[in-house]
Amino acid sequence: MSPGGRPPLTHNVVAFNPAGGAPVLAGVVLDTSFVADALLVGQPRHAACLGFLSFLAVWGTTVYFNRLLELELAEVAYKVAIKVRFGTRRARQMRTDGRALRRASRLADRLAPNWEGALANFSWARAEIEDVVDELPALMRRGLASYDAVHAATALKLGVGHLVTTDSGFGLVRQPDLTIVTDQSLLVACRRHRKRSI
Amino acid sequence: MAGVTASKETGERSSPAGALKLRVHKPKVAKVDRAASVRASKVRTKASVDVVKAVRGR
Repeated sequence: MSPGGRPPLTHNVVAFNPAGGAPVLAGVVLDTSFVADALLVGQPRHAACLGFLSFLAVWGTTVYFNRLLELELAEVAYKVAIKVRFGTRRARQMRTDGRALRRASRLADRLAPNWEGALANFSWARAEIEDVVDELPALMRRGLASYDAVHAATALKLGVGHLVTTDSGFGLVRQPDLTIVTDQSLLVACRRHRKRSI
Repeated sequence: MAGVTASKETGERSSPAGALKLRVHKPKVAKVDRAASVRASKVRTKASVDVVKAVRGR
Protein backbone atom coordinates (compact mmCIF):
# COMPACT_ATOMS: atom_id res chain seq x y z
CA MET A 1 0.00 0.00 0.00
CA SER A 2 1.29 3.49 -0.77
CA PRO A 3 2.30 5.72 2.17
CA GLY A 4 -0.79 7.88 1.64
CA GLY A 5 -3.17 4.93 1.75
CA ARG A 6 -5.70 3.90 -0.84
CA PRO A 7 -6.65 6.68 -3.27
CA PRO A 8 -10.28 7.80 -2.94
CA LEU A 9 -12.87 6.20 -5.21
CA THR A 10 -13.67 8.58 -8.06
CA HIS A 11 -17.39 7.75 -8.24
CA ASN A 12 -17.09 8.82 -11.89
CA VAL A 13 -16.29 12.40 -10.85
CA VAL A 14 -12.99 13.80 -12.17
CA ALA A 15 -11.25 17.16 -12.01
CA PHE A 16 -10.65 19.31 -15.07
CA ASN A 17 -7.62 20.84 -13.38
CA PRO A 18 -5.78 17.96 -11.65
CA ALA A 19 -2.10 18.14 -10.82
CA GLY A 20 -1.26 15.72 -13.64
CA GLY A 21 -2.92 17.78 -16.39
CA ALA A 22 -6.43 18.14 -17.79
CA PRO A 23 -8.21 15.15 -19.36
CA VAL A 24 -8.41 15.05 -23.17
CA LEU A 25 -12.00 14.34 -24.24
CA ALA A 26 -13.60 13.83 -27.64
CA GLY A 27 -16.91 15.42 -26.69
CA VAL A 28 -18.45 17.08 -23.63
CA VAL A 29 -21.71 18.69 -22.60
CA LEU A 30 -21.25 22.10 -20.98
CA ASP A 31 -23.32 23.32 -18.05
CA THR A 32 -24.12 27.01 -17.50
CA SER A 33 -22.17 27.23 -14.24
CA PHE A 34 -18.92 26.28 -16.00
CA VAL A 35 -19.43 28.65 -18.93
CA ALA A 36 -20.38 31.59 -16.67
CA ASP A 37 -17.38 30.98 -14.43
CA ALA A 38 -15.15 30.80 -17.50
CA LEU A 39 -16.43 33.98 -19.12
CA LEU A 40 -16.94 36.26 -16.11
CA VAL A 41 -13.71 37.71 -14.76
CA GLY A 42 -13.70 37.83 -10.97
CA GLN A 43 -15.50 34.55 -10.37
CA PRO A 44 -13.64 32.39 -7.84
CA ARG A 45 -13.08 29.60 -10.38
CA HIS A 46 -12.65 31.86 -13.40
CA ALA A 47 -8.99 31.10 -14.13
CA ALA A 48 -9.41 27.31 -13.87
CA CYS A 49 -12.59 27.29 -15.99
CA LEU A 50 -11.23 29.59 -18.69
CA GLY A 51 -8.04 27.52 -18.77
CA PHE A 52 -10.00 24.30 -19.32
CA LEU A 53 -12.24 25.92 -21.94
CA SER A 54 -9.10 26.97 -23.84
CA PHE A 55 -7.71 23.46 -23.42
CA LEU A 56 -10.87 21.93 -24.91
CA ALA A 57 -10.64 24.31 -27.89
CA VAL A 58 -7.00 23.55 -28.55
CA TRP A 59 -7.55 19.78 -28.37
CA GLY A 60 -10.51 19.93 -30.73
CA THR A 61 -13.13 18.67 -28.28
CA THR A 62 -16.68 18.91 -29.63
CA VAL A 63 -18.90 20.81 -27.22
CA TYR A 64 -22.62 20.18 -26.85
CA PHE A 65 -25.00 22.29 -24.82
CA ASN A 66 -28.68 22.94 -24.36
CA ARG A 67 -30.39 26.17 -25.43
CA LEU A 68 -31.19 26.66 -21.73
CA LEU A 69 -27.52 27.51 -21.16
CA GLU A 70 -27.88 30.72 -23.15
CA LEU A 71 -31.01 31.72 -21.23
CA GLU A 72 -29.26 31.05 -17.94
CA LEU A 73 -26.28 33.16 -18.98
CA ALA A 74 -28.65 36.11 -19.31
CA GLU A 75 -29.96 35.35 -15.80
CA VAL A 76 -26.40 35.39 -14.45
CA ALA A 77 -25.80 38.77 -16.10
CA TYR A 78 -28.96 40.02 -14.43
CA LYS A 79 -27.89 38.82 -10.97
CA VAL A 80 -24.42 40.34 -11.36
CA ALA A 81 -25.91 43.66 -12.41
CA ILE A 82 -28.21 43.80 -9.38
CA LYS A 83 -25.35 43.02 -7.01
CA VAL A 84 -23.15 45.70 -8.57
CA ARG A 85 -25.88 48.30 -8.25
CA PHE A 86 -27.42 47.43 -4.88
CA GLY A 87 -25.12 44.94 -3.12
CA THR A 88 -25.83 41.38 -2.10
CA ARG A 89 -28.16 42.19 0.82
CA ARG A 90 -30.65 44.23 -1.21
CA ALA A 91 -30.39 42.12 -4.37
CA ARG A 92 -33.64 40.22 -3.90
CA GLN A 93 -35.87 43.22 -3.16
CA MET A 94 -34.41 45.27 -6.04
CA ARG A 95 -35.00 42.60 -8.67
CA THR A 96 -37.32 44.72 -10.79
CA ASP A 97 -35.57 48.07 -10.31
CA GLY A 98 -35.17 49.89 -13.61
CA ARG A 99 -31.57 50.91 -12.92
CA ALA A 100 -30.58 47.28 -12.37
CA LEU A 101 -32.52 46.22 -15.46
CA ARG A 102 -30.61 48.64 -17.67
CA ARG A 103 -27.28 47.51 -16.25
CA ALA A 104 -28.31 43.87 -16.62
CA SER A 105 -29.31 44.45 -20.21
CA ARG A 106 -25.91 45.96 -21.03
CA LEU A 107 -24.04 43.11 -19.35
CA ALA A 108 -26.19 40.47 -21.06
CA ASP A 109 -25.55 42.24 -24.37
CA ARG A 110 -21.81 41.81 -23.80
CA LEU A 111 -21.98 38.26 -22.48
CA ALA A 112 -23.98 36.83 -25.40
CA PRO A 113 -21.55 37.87 -28.19
CA ASN A 114 -18.58 36.80 -26.11
CA TRP A 115 -20.13 33.36 -25.71
CA GLU A 116 -20.58 33.26 -29.48
CA GLY A 117 -16.95 34.35 -29.85
CA ALA A 118 -15.82 31.51 -27.63
CA LEU A 119 -17.95 29.04 -29.60
CA ALA A 120 -16.18 30.01 -32.83
CA ASN A 121 -13.21 28.01 -31.53
CA PHE A 122 -15.13 24.74 -31.26
CA SER A 123 -17.01 22.13 -33.18
CA TRP A 124 -20.31 22.57 -31.42
CA ALA A 125 -23.96 21.58 -31.43
CA ARG A 126 -26.95 22.94 -29.57
CA ALA A 127 -29.87 20.84 -28.31
CA GLU A 128 -33.28 22.33 -27.70
CA ILE A 129 -35.19 21.94 -24.45
CA GLU A 130 -37.96 20.00 -26.19
CA ASP A 131 -35.38 17.48 -27.43
CA VAL A 132 -34.82 16.24 -23.88
CA VAL A 133 -38.11 16.69 -22.02
CA ASP A 134 -38.84 12.97 -21.99
CA GLU A 135 -35.67 12.35 -19.94
CA LEU A 136 -36.47 14.96 -17.30
CA PRO A 137 -38.97 13.19 -14.99
CA ALA A 138 -36.56 10.34 -14.18
CA LEU A 139 -33.75 12.77 -13.41
CA MET A 140 -35.94 15.02 -11.29
CA ARG A 141 -37.07 12.00 -9.27
CA ARG A 142 -33.40 11.60 -8.29
CA GLY A 143 -33.46 15.10 -6.76
CA LEU A 144 -32.13 17.22 -9.61
CA ALA A 145 -33.70 20.64 -10.08
CA SER A 146 -35.40 21.15 -13.42
CA TYR A 147 -32.57 23.33 -14.77
CA ASP A 148 -29.91 20.79 -13.87
CA ALA A 149 -32.03 17.99 -15.24
CA VAL A 150 -32.15 19.67 -18.67
CA HIS A 151 -28.34 19.72 -18.95
CA ALA A 152 -27.95 16.19 -17.61
CA ALA A 153 -30.69 14.96 -19.95
CA THR A 154 -28.89 16.57 -22.88
CA ALA A 155 -25.78 14.54 -22.07
CA LEU A 156 -27.77 11.32 -21.64
CA LYS A 157 -29.84 11.78 -24.81
CA LEU A 158 -26.77 12.56 -26.89
CA GLY A 159 -24.79 9.71 -25.40
CA VAL A 160 -21.98 12.11 -24.47
CA GLY A 161 -20.31 10.57 -21.46
CA HIS A 162 -18.93 13.75 -19.86
CA LEU A 163 -20.61 16.82 -18.37
CA VAL A 164 -18.42 19.80 -17.44
CA THR A 165 -19.82 21.82 -14.54
CA THR A 166 -19.01 23.74 -11.36
CA ASP A 167 -22.28 22.64 -9.76
CA SER A 168 -21.76 19.68 -7.43
CA GLY A 169 -25.50 18.89 -7.59
CA PHE A 170 -24.93 16.95 -10.82
CA GLY A 171 -23.50 14.21 -8.62
CA LEU A 172 -27.13 13.12 -8.22
CA VAL A 173 -27.10 11.66 -11.74
CA ARG A 174 -26.65 7.88 -11.66
CA GLN A 175 -22.94 7.08 -11.53
CA PRO A 176 -22.66 4.73 -14.55
CA ASP A 177 -24.59 7.11 -16.81
CA LEU A 178 -22.39 10.19 -16.70
CA THR A 179 -18.87 11.27 -15.77
CA ILE A 180 -18.87 14.64 -14.01
CA VAL A 181 -15.88 16.82 -14.90
CA THR A 182 -15.53 19.58 -12.32
CA ASP A 183 -13.17 21.85 -10.47
CA GLN A 184 -10.69 20.18 -8.11
CA SER A 185 -12.24 22.05 -5.16
CA LEU A 186 -15.67 20.47 -5.85
CA LEU A 187 -14.61 16.83 -6.09
CA VAL A 188 -15.48 15.97 -2.50
CA ALA A 189 -18.92 17.62 -2.58
CA CYS A 190 -19.78 16.07 -5.94
CA ARG A 191 -18.65 12.59 -4.88
CA ARG A 192 -20.69 12.91 -1.69
CA HIS A 193 -23.82 13.43 -3.84
CA ARG A 194 -22.85 10.38 -5.88
CA LYS A 195 -22.51 8.17 -2.83
CA ARG A 196 -25.93 9.27 -1.59
CA SER A 197 -27.64 8.76 -4.92
CA ILE A 198 -26.58 5.20 -5.80
CA MET B 1 -10.01 38.27 -36.37
CA ALA B 2 -6.71 36.52 -36.93
CA GLY B 3 -7.02 32.88 -37.71
CA VAL B 4 -10.66 33.00 -38.73
CA THR B 5 -11.43 30.75 -41.65
CA ALA B 6 -14.57 30.58 -43.74
CA SER B 7 -17.65 29.90 -41.67
CA LYS B 8 -18.77 26.32 -42.04
CA GLU B 9 -21.72 24.34 -40.93
CA THR B 10 -21.56 20.70 -41.80
CA GLY B 11 -25.25 20.08 -42.05
CA GLU B 12 -24.58 16.55 -40.90
CA ARG B 13 -26.58 15.50 -37.91
CA SER B 14 -24.36 13.84 -35.43
CA SER B 15 -24.53 12.28 -32.02
CA PRO B 16 -21.73 10.35 -30.32
CA ALA B 17 -23.85 7.39 -29.23
CA GLY B 18 -27.29 8.48 -28.17
CA ALA B 19 -30.72 8.87 -29.67
CA LEU B 20 -30.52 12.59 -30.35
CA LYS B 21 -28.90 13.81 -33.58
CA LEU B 22 -27.76 17.41 -33.84
CA ARG B 23 -26.26 19.62 -36.51
CA VAL B 24 -22.59 20.13 -35.70
CA HIS B 25 -21.03 23.51 -36.48
CA LYS B 26 -17.35 23.53 -37.35
CA PRO B 27 -14.82 25.88 -35.70
CA LYS B 28 -14.16 29.18 -37.41
CA VAL B 29 -10.83 29.86 -35.70
CA ALA B 30 -7.61 28.14 -36.71
CA LYS B 31 -6.25 25.69 -34.16
CA VAL B 32 -3.10 27.69 -33.39
CA ASP B 33 -5.11 30.78 -32.44
CA ARG B 34 -7.75 29.12 -30.27
CA ALA B 35 -6.24 29.50 -26.82
CA ALA B 36 -5.86 33.27 -27.22
CA SER B 37 -9.25 33.56 -28.89
CA VAL B 38 -11.06 31.78 -26.05
CA ARG B 39 -9.25 33.92 -23.50
CA ALA B 40 -10.34 37.04 -25.37
CA SER B 41 -13.99 36.04 -24.80
CA LYS B 42 -14.01 36.85 -21.11
CA VAL B 43 -16.20 39.64 -19.76
CA ARG B 44 -15.13 42.03 -17.01
CA THR B 45 -17.63 42.74 -14.25
CA LYS B 46 -17.48 44.74 -11.04
CA ALA B 47 -18.91 41.95 -8.91
CA SER B 48 -18.76 38.21 -8.70
CA VAL B 49 -21.77 36.05 -8.00
CA ASP B 50 -22.25 32.48 -6.96
CA VAL B 51 -23.20 31.26 -10.41
CA VAL B 52 -24.99 28.16 -9.18
CA LYS B 53 -27.11 30.27 -6.85
CA ALA B 54 -27.62 32.88 -9.54
CA VAL B 55 -29.21 30.53 -12.01
CA ARG B 56 -30.72 27.94 -9.71
CA GLY B 57 -31.57 29.87 -6.58
CA ARG B 58 -29.86 27.54 -4.10
